[in-house]
Amino acid sequence: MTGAQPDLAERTEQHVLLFRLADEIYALPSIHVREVGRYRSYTPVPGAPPAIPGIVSHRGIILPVVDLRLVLGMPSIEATRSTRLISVVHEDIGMALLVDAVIDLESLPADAFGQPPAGLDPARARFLRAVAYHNDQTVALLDIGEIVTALREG
Amino acid sequence: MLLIVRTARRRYIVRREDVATLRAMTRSDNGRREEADSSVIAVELGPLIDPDDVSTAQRRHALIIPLRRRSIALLVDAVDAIIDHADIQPLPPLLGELLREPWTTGVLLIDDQPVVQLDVRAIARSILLQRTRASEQK
Repeated sequence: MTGAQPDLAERTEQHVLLFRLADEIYALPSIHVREVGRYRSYTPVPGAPPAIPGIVSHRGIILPVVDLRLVLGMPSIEATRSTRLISVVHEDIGMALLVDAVIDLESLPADAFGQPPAGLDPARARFLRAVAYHNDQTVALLDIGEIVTALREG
Repeated sequence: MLLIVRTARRRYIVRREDVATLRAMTRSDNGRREEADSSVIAVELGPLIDPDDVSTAQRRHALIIPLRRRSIALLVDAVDAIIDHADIQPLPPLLGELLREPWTTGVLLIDDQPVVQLDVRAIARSILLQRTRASEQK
């Protein structure tokens, strides 16, 4: 996986995986997504940061579990029946993203995306590449590279 | 050679060579031994790593880790197995670089469940450092 992707404006469609955190809808470019799995308990690692509460095995590969709620400044919650782990890769770094629920894979027209609203909390806005309206709902397209950067900043 | 040790809620892997002695004991033995031999500091491994990992078992197994002047006894519920060789994997890159303490050296998959390998010598050094600082502040 490389970071060389066409800019949003150069594409006619953006293939994304839609998922939910609290009552907000988020999207990840499907190019990063390897698999979606049901939640299973993870193994905590001593001294790990709260946003990476543990590790799971995904087909024999050890992946860090990233609690996206904490990354985006939301409170963490107990897993439910709809909790999912999204296995993603960004520049050879694999992760299992913990989300409240996965909605579906969608192809959204590229021109549906626009700049995130200026009034957003900067701590959360840094993770958004763009915002779209889909089925009368706001969809925030996440920048997975920025998530990795933020995790490394601690 | 590796030991698989068990606390109330977790399993961990420990390198056998890091442990000088393995000793079975009860909680009351532990209190008496600390009174008799102040060179050994006994610490429950479970809550040291996870505050919720508290055992009520009376029977304890002590992993004795000698340091220069004192020894640390890490107490666990059980030593489940001793294995000759295992394919320990490194921690994933994103996590390995972010650990607050260098206590984890790798991961072993047992029945597809990751089990963390602990560096008990690093843990023992941290305990001793913490005790030394605490006594200096008194």
